[in-house]
Amino acid sequence: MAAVAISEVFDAKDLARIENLELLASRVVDGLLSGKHRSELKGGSAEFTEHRGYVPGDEIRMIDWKVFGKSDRYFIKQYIEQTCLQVIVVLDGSGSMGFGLKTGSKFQYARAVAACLTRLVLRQSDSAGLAVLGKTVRNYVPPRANPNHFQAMLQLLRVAQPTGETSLAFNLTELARRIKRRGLIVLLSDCFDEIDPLKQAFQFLRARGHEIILLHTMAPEELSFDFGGWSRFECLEVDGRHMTLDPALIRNDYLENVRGFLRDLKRMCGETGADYHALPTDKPMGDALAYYLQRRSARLKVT
Amino acid sequence: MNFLSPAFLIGLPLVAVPVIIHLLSRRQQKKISWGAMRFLMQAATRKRRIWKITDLLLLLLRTAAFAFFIFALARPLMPATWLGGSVPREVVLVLDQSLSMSRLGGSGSLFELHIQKANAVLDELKPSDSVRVLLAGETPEWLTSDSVPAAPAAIRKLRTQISELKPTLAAGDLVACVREAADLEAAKDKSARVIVVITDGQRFGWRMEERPLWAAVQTRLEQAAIPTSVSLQSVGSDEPAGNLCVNNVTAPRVFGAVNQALTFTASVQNHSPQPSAATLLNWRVNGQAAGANTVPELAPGASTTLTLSHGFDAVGPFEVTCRLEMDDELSADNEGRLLVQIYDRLPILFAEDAASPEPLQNDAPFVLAALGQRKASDGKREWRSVFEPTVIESAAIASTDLAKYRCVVLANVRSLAPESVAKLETYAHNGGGVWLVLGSQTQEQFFNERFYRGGLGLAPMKIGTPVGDPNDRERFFSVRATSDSHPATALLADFQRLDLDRARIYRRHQFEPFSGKDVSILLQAQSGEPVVVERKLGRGRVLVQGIPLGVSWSTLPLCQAYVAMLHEWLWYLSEPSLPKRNLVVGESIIEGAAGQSQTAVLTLPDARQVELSAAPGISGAQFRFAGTRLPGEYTLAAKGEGEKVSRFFVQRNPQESDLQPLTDADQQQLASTKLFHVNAGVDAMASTTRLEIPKHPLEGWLLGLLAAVLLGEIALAGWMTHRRNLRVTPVTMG
Repeated sequence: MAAVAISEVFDAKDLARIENLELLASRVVDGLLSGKHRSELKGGSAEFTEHRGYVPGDEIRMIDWKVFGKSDRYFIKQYIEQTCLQVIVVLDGSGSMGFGLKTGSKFQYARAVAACLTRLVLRQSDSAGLAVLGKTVRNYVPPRANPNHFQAMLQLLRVAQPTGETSLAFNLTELARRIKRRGLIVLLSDCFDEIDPLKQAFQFLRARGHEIILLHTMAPEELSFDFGGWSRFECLEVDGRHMTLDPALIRNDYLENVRGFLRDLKRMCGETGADYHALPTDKPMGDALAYYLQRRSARLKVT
Repeated sequence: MNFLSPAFLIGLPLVAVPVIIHLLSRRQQKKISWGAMRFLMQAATRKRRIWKITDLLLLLLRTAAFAFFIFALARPLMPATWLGGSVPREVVLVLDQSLSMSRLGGSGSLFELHIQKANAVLDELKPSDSVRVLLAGETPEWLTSDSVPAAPAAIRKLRTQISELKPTLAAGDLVACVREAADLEAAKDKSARVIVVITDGQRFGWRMEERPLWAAVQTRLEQAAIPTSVSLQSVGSDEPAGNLCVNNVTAPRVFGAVNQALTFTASVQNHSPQPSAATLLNWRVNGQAAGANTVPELAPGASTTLTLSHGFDAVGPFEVTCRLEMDDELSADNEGRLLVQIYDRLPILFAEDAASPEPLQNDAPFVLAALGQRKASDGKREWRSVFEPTVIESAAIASTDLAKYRCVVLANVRSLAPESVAKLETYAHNGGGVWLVLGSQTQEQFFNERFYRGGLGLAPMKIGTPVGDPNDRERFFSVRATSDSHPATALLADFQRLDLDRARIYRRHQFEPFSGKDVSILLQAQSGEPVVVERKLGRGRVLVQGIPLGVSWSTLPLCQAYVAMLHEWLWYLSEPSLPKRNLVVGESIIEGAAGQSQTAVLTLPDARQVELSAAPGISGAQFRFAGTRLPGEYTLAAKGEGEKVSRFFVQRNPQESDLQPLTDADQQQLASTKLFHVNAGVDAMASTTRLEIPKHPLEGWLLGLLAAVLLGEIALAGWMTHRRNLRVTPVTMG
């Protein structure tokens, strides 16, 4: 499989913007203490990479006795240590994510964010996974700490397209069942779904020990609704659903609805302990993500 | 619907312009692929119906504006009946107030039935109708000065006015009423006229024999400004009613002297289809019984006359009435009435230029003797006659106030100053009587120049050379009265009682034949040549006598007829200057305003009162009233004169007593005009006549609607623009 160029998914400048940042988890996660994350659990969950000769001071339990039996020499197994942070980036692939007029679509934006995040996570020796949600969990790349794992996710990001409807709550719940270890769930979505089921899903995830970050993407047009003249609004998720109206006449009510939605969403995130961050697509992605990571790091380090 | 400018309707397709623009704007709507449908749908659901309504309303307003504008330019006309209205009619209600309506019929009088019928006609009126009421009498009279709209309040007031009407003694000229109604100027908002004549169906009043009149009426109806028809509604019976009536009471003279008998004649006629029974005719003078006559049985249509001779023993006004002592269906015509005035003294002027120093050669002694001159115990002269003469010479006429005298006798005048002749002419014009008696001193040339004056003067005829010789007593001619019906000669023509035919005329002045017109000859010779001629000059009368009043040319003064002749002619000449109390319909009431009174109140037969002001008259201030439309008694009370009341009586038309109804032939004749409908309702009229339904112009309304629509469009569009441009703060995600 040919390697996917980074530029196909995101701008390298954006990556450069966050490269020196870290994605921290606010909770103690599973896994060995390694890197930036501490783990409560004993025992390894490292991944064998190679042997090296024993030198005094190495742990005796690390000696590969099978190799000794064969070679009569002492060798230590080298492992890539499984990071304690497992980050799964969940990308909303519903049709509404395909909206974008002045800026690129929300999906493109979220995709870039997903790519940058996974890259960041892998770089900080944490494991990263990716899920793209549609009606169901359309695509799932289990989390790995292997740097080469990035390509697989990049490939997925490249081919994924926003289409159809989705039920975030249902899919998140399904995804939670697939995830064996506690980790960090980063949801990239516009969350155009019912709040209450989403809240239940978040609670389910939280109950299973996951930490949730909601990176909420919305297009500027969705926030201003500054259209003029009679227009036909065609639904991106459901074929045939449309509305013909004069936007100016309902602008006020529409914006009130959006405000109410954001208010409820933020409240829900607060109630469920999810970390909410807005990512309007008219903000440069790198700056927005960098700002978030810095603020998160600062907040977590304080606590 | 019609249009005054239909060419503008070519622009009607422009009404589709707003629709086309609306549809095109819909086509040009942007398509936006949208993700946040749920927020959109939440917001749109509530407002969708309002948008659709406002959008549709705006479209309708713009379309309507185009339509109203184009239609207003085309100036449509809408028939008045389109909105459920009826053809607006002008109803002329003709109410018969004639004498015959007071007869009894069924449960009440015909007049009461006729009022009920009038109210029924008012009930049939539609809101778009109007009504006028015309009263049928001797002449038509409008009860309402203007057309009354068929509004409840106005109709109520009209019903009250109608209920106060009463039948009169007048005859009803119904043809005149139809003509008057047909000649009405058409109201602009009325399409048809219906003339409803409510009457008892009496034939008299319709003048059915006058074919040219009916042809003219029909032409008038056909050429009326708006389609006109006549509905004849009868409240009477088709059967002729029985009626015995007093046609009138007459007398040769309604003036007299104390103790001088006057003869009154009553004409009684049977208008019934059956013979009438004998009955009594009672006479009364000022309410006191004065005599009675037996009215014999009369055949259908027959009449008889009955007389009363009565002497009045006092001076003043007297009312002479006669009444049939029987009840029939119409009792209002069972009485006749005449007003008589009795005088004590009537001054006359006698002017003579004595022809001889011998008194008996002149006229004055004979005249004065005929008037009963005598000397009283105090030496003053008294007169047995009611006429009191003042004797002067003709030259004194210039300085004499002629107004003090009832007539002037000029006997054997040699000459007269032009001013005196003019004075006499004025006197005659003003009602005075002039008696020119020719004699031996009469100059033909002077007479013809001054008195005849080419036919414009006092004398009606020229005179020529006298004929005969007064000294030849063997050759003479006699005279006779030319007519027994002329009031001046009725008595003289009675040769049984008087001996006028025995008078011997020896010499007379000749009247030139064919020298005058409208000349009345009172006495003529046996050869037929006029001896005494008369002319009417203004209000007065002039007699010209071709023989002297003395014995110089005739033996007339020696006849019994002389005194009667003198008195009869003095009465005849005095009559125009005496107050006329018995009038015919239309004749003016004239009464001198005596003393200081300047106003008087005249009470009419229907109890209405009219205030009169004294106006300068011929012989002083006078009260005048020309509106004697109703027969009956009129009383004039001058203000400030205490109890002085003058009475007048306007005689009724005796033909009104003929109650014969319209015959079948008459009704057919009426129906043949196709404009007369017998006993048809008011509504039936509209369907049988050519109607031009009026049309109302609508452009005013359309322009008003256009203005309203434009204002609405501006307001609605403005509101929508305002809503569209409301500043709304975009959402920040936080």
